Amino acid sequence: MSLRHLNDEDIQAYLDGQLAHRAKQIERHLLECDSCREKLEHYRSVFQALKQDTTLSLAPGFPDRVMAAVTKEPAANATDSFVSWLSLAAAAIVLVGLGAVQYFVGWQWLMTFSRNISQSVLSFKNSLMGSTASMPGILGDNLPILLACGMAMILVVCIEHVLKHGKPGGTHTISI
Amino acid sequence: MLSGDTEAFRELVESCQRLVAHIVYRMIPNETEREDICQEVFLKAYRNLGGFKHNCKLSTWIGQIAYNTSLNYLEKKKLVLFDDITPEEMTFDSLPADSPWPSEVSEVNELSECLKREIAGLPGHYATIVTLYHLDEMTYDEIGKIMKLPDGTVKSYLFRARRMLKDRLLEKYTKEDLCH
Repeated sequence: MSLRHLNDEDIQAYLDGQLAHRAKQIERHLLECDSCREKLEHYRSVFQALKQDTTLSLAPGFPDRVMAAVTKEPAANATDSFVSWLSLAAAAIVLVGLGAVQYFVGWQWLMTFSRNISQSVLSFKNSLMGSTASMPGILGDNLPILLACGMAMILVVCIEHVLKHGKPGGTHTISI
Repeated sequence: MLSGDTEAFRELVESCQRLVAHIVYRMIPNETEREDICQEVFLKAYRNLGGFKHNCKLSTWIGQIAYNTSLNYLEKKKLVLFDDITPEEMTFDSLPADSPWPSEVSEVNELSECLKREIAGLPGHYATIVTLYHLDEMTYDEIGKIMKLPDGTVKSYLFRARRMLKDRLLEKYTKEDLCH
C-alpha cells in the first residue's frame, strides 16, 4: 500500500485539483485500493451532477420585466452626483467669497471680526467655568487662513471624488 | 452605467441574472416568490449603483445584494436558514459497505434528479456555496465576499455540504430506485 487511506477531505481536495503536489502518490494508491477508488467515484459522480444542474434559471423575459420596473425608477446616481457638485460649488463659492472680502475690505476686518467672535465664545466659557484665561490670539488672528485651508481641503476632496467616480452624467467602465 | 444608462443596465441584468437566480433559488424555499426577489435584487442594484465602491467585481456586488436580500426575506418570514444538522454524525465510514451507488447507473440524469432533491434539502448556506462553487465556478474568496464569510468557513461548509450530499445519496437511493 503506497499511502494511508484517503479521507473525505483528501478526496474532495484531490478532485478540486488542490493536491497537485501529491497527485502521483494519490493516483498510485487509488490503483491499489478499491475502497478509496470507490469513494473517489462517489464524489466524482456528485461533482459531475452538481455541474449539470440547469433548474436554477429564471423564466424567459426576466430582463424585460426588470427593465420595465427600472424605467419607473429615478436615475441611478442622480443624488450622488448632485451632492458631489453641490459640495464642489459650495467650496468654490466660499473661496471666492473669502477672496472678495480680502480684495474689498482686507484681512484686517475679517481678523477683527473673527477675534471678536472668539473673544465672545471665550468670555461665555469663562463665565460658565469661572476661569479668567485670556484669548489665545493665534486662533483669532489666523481664523481666515484656517477657513481658507479648510475650504481648500474640501475642494481637493471633491475634485478627487469626481475624478474617482467619473464626472456626473458621464460614462464609467466597470468590470462585471 | 452609473449615470443611469438603462441599456448598459440591461446588459448587467443579462450577465448577472444566472448568478442572482443561483443565490436566491438556493436560499429561498418559497418557489412562488423567488422571481420577485430576483427582480427586487436588480432594482436595489439600480438604485444603489452610485454607492458601488469598486473594491470588488460588479457581479460580486450584485451577488452580495442577492444574498442580503434573501437573508432579509428569510428574517421577515421568520424562516430558519440552518436546520439542526450534525454533518459529523454522517460519515462515509458509518454507512454500510455494500450500499449500492448511483454512479453505477448509466443514466446520468437520474443521478442529477436525485441530487436536485438532496440539494433542496440542504440548509440554504450549504446549497448556495455548493452552487456558487460548482455552477458559477467561483473561488472561496469570491463566495466569501458575497456571503461575508472567511475563506476557511466557505471551504469547511463546502466540504460538509458535499459530504452530506454523497452520504445522503448513499443512504437513500439504491441502484434500482435510480433506474426507474
